[in-house]
Amino acid sequence: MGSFIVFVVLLLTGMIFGKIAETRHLKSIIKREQQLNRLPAVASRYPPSGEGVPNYQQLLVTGNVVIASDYFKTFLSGLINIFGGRVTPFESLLDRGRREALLRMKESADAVNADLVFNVKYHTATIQQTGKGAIEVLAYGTALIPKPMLTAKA
Amino acid sequence: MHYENRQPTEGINVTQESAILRAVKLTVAALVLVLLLFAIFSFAGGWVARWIPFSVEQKVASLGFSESPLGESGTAPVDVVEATVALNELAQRVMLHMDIPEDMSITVHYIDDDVINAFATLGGHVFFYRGLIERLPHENALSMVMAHEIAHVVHRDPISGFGGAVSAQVLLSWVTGGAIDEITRFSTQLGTASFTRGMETRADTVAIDAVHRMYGHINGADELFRALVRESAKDPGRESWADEFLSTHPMNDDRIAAIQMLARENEWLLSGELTPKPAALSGGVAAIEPQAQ
Repeated sequence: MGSFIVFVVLLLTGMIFGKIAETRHLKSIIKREQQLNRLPAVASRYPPSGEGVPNYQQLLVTGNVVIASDYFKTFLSGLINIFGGRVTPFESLLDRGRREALLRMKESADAVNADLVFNVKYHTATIQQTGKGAIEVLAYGTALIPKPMLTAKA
Repeated sequence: MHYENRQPTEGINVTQESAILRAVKLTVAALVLVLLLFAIFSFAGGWVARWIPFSVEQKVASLGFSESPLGESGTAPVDVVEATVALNELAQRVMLHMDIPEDMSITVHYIDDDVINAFATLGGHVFFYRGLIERLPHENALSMVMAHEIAHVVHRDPISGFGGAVSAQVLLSWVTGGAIDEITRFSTQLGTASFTRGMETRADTVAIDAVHRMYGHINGADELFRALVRESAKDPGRESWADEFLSTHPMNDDRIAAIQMLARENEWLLSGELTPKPAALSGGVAAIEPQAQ
């Protein structure tokens, strides 16, 4: 009975604090996305032609985030693993992970006054065993930095 | 070429649904599934375990229990030694009136503790607590408990229960990938209680028959259950141990009724002379004076 009470407490803790953390994080993501929309990040493999590309310096920029699942999400995903279906508790976790990683990459690009990031890619990894622990999302791309800016920074 | 990023529309990559409602639905479904699998696995495991030869069971048990009921050290107090010898002698006498396979042997251990319980476990080892012996007023009641525990060993209940529980736990953990261990543990606890009840009833039936053969009547055989009912009524604060004992056993009133029904069916004598407990086991205060019925 003792372990069952601990389990229920952990479940409630995960549910309440997980929800608070998620809501707070999503709010922060939306706010920062609106601020950084001025710096485009695109998936095309080559820099845009014309517009004086030779005047740009190219630089690798990365953004990386690790987000933990909570007890409730892990428990629910364990149940879904038996019966199948969309693992919705992890959809929001991965969505936040991808957006946060992209934001951090953009923040890195913004720090070196880039005009654009192209060839953006994602990588994800699980830390600890599947369904437990945390996810890592890495976003990386090639930042285009106007040459005079780069010189000024240097 | 002009590039721009626009704010992504919310709710496309994330499904909007009530996680709590989904968790409740899936938990109920998982509980049903786990109980079903538990029943299948423990039945199959228990059935297979009964085919394990008793000699193998004894070897496994010898890893956990001493072959000698007095332990290897030989330092047990005199009263414990005497009680253990008396219990083993009683077991031998009870076994004369039961159908025991030739390769089977019973070792009775005495535990000097106030717990009101007795149990049979792997390898033919039977354990009696001082607390139980003290509350049984005569040998007839003690023989009933002894025959009941020996019947468990004869029916291979301990190895079957053990095999069933182990296979259920291992297979369930394997099937569910350990993802829902809490649900598994909770529902297996629920399952265990109902699974041993059938075994208890079967052991009661064999035991009452042995007691009848031994004494020629069944007076006092249901004393254990009457004593348990009295103890819990006398001291409600100590009900926890009674509950614990009952949790894997049918209700005492039902067992008394079942014994009386068996007696009627077989036309057994309900009254007869009660035999006093062996001297080494007569310590402590009996809960009540024996009453002829």
